[in-house]
Amino acid sequence: MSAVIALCHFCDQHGPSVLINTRVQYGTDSSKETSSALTTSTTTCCACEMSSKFVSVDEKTQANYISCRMPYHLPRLSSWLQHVCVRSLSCEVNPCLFSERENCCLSLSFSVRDAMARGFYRWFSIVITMRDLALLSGLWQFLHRFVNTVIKIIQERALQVYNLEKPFRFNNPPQSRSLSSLTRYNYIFAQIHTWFSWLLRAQTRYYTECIPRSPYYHAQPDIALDGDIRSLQSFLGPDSFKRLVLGLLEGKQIILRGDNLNAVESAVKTLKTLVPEKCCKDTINAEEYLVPEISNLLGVGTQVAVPQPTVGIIRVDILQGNCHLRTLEQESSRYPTYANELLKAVENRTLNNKVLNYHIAALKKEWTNISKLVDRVPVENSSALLLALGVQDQDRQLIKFWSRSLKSVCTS
Amino acid sequence: MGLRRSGKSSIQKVVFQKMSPNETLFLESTNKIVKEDISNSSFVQFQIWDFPGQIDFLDPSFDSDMIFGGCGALVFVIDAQDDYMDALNKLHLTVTKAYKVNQNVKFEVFIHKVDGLTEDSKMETQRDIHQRANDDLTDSGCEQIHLSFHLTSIYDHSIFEAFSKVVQKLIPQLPALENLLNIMISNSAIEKAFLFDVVSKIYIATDSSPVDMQSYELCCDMIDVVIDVSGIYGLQEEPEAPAFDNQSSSLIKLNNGTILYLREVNRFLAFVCILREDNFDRQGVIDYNFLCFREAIQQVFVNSIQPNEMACNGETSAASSKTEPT
Ligand SMILES: Nc1nc2c(ncn2[C@@H]2O[C@H](COP(=O)(O)OP(=O)(O)OP(=O)(O)O)[C@@H](O)[C@H]2O)c(=O)[nH]1
Ligand SMILES: [Mg+2]
Repeated sequence: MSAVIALCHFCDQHGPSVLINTRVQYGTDSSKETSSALTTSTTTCCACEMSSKFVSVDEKTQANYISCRMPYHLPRLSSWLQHVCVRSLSCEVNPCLFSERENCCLSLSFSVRDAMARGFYRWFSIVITMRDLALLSGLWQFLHRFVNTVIKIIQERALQVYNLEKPFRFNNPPQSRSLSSLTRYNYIFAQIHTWFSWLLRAQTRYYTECIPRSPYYHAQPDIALDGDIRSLQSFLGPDSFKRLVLGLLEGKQIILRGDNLNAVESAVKTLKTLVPEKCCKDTINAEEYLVPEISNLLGVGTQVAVPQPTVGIIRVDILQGNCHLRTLEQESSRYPTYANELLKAVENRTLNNKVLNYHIAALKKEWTNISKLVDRVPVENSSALLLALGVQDQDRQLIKFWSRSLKSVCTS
Repeated sequence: MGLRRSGKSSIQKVVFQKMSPNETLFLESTNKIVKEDISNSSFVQFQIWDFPGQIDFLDPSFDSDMIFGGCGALVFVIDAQDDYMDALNKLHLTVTKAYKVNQNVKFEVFIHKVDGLTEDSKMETQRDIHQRANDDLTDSGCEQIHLSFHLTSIYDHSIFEAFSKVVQKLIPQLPALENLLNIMISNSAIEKAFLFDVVSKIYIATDSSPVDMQSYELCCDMIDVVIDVSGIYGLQEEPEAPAFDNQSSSLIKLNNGTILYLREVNRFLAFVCILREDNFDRQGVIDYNFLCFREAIQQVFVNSIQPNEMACNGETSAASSKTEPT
């Protein structure tokens, strides 16, 4: 589904409903559709009624711009449009841009004078939906200006009619009526069709929507905001998370490779907060594989070839919203103290995210200092110091890696 | 909630925004949930949500937790001048769904627009709606859901009365307040006393003698008089100042030998009572009792600024009502 534009209104009888929508269809064969679309759209309410169907053809590009009330033969589009219509007319902000599942929508609602309506106002909205949120927000200015022009024209026409009818407005009970009687303009829907088609054409001439997706694509869960450790944990699963953190703390190279670069990037950023800055040479969206000395935390897209996991390398593949950790490391029975405390804190739901971050920062500082201190003292005298600092056997690998990284940057 | 054109927005405007009933003829149909904060203008602290009648909020695409989760009372408005079978269906669906989400919701059914009905058909309609609504609940095995019914109209005080009862159910200190009012009237030879929320004119408590519609209306009108007169003649230096302040009090003698007496309790609350003229010769005692009463009320609500301490309010109020001197 590429861009679709619709005009919706709030019917006093039926609530929000779509009046007309315009979409593009490529190819010459639109006659079949014409008949099927017309037969199913029946409504008895004169405010919701719009029985015509309009088709404009762009000979050059083979694009058919089709307008009708509801594309009932496309059930997914219809139900999406109905949903968008309800949202746009009941939304507390205006204009409003929202995205849901794989679609997104720009909505502008407006009121129109109507001497026969309850309260002498009717609510309408114009919605533009497409799949690509970035494209839609990029087009915002252009669309907004255009839609506002359309709104103004409709409002002004209706106001003129209202002023003519005003003297009689108190005598008649409220009744619903169509947009063409509201504006006293029989061809209003044809006019709207040409406006909307023009917009679709103008928009597609400059930008086209192109979303590369495999046939196996299924919606990816929203993952990890920057710095949010818990969402990363739930995304990776507790076991993979544990092993990944352990590898990172002990100086293994971590490679995150995935088809969703946002996910990869936010995972890298989150992991980075767990170790001192100097222990982490992270690269996001690298063009090619980098050796551990250059980058020990590497985020790449699926187009980049990277080594298979070995003793020093842990790989995480994030594909189609699933992630899979691959490593040859043996699962060790005892974890470094820092890792233990860290994992415990992440599990501890009484700490909120902010507190958790502070807690981790404090732990990190503590072990940075320990690493620096241990490094200064000759090995032969260190046993008493280690005991005093609470350093145990399982911490040695971490301290070795940390003190080396901390020093290397200091000297360089 | 309620079907379209049942009068939801009208009720909200008339009770909380002082719209005159005739103006409601020109209300637009509501197209989104309209939330109004009552907390900053009056004593009772809550939000009122006015729902559009045309949109089905029970649809799974709406988050029922957001709608019913924080809800204290659900007012369902039924247009009594219209065929109400659809409304009853909707009532049933709404109530059962809300109950699933939140068992603490109080369900209030307003049988509305009864101004167009004769006295007999009012009773008949209430009986019929009551019967059918409860039958529906029993049939679907939801007997534990309790519905309260009120006959209302925006053209008289019934809507204020009904809303008063709804709001009272949401005030945890109600028993203490009623107790205080009982003590107050028995020691001052007062016939009937109300504690009013001035802005909305709903009464948040009254003594335990039955409420007679006429005396309630009299008291409402008295508040209007006080506010209007003070608005015109009081405090001209500061046009922004509220017409009702801690100096406010008023005394009206009716020619049938009764007296209406109003005293300010705090910025939001007024004490209004009705008593016989013969019993008013000892006004000093009544005024003294009132001061004690006001003191006690303040103690009851001393914690209401910190809602999380609501639990201890019960104790405070019990203690204060015992120490009430007469
Ligand atoms: N006779 C009579 N008419 C009433 C009463 N209350 C409301 N109305 C009228 O009922 C009509 C509809 O009232 P609204 O308040 O707009 O209805 P609503 O329930 O908000 O409707 P939606 O917003 O469409 O859901 C208005 O014309 C009111 O004047 C009443 O107590 N008695
Ligand atoms: Mg309304």
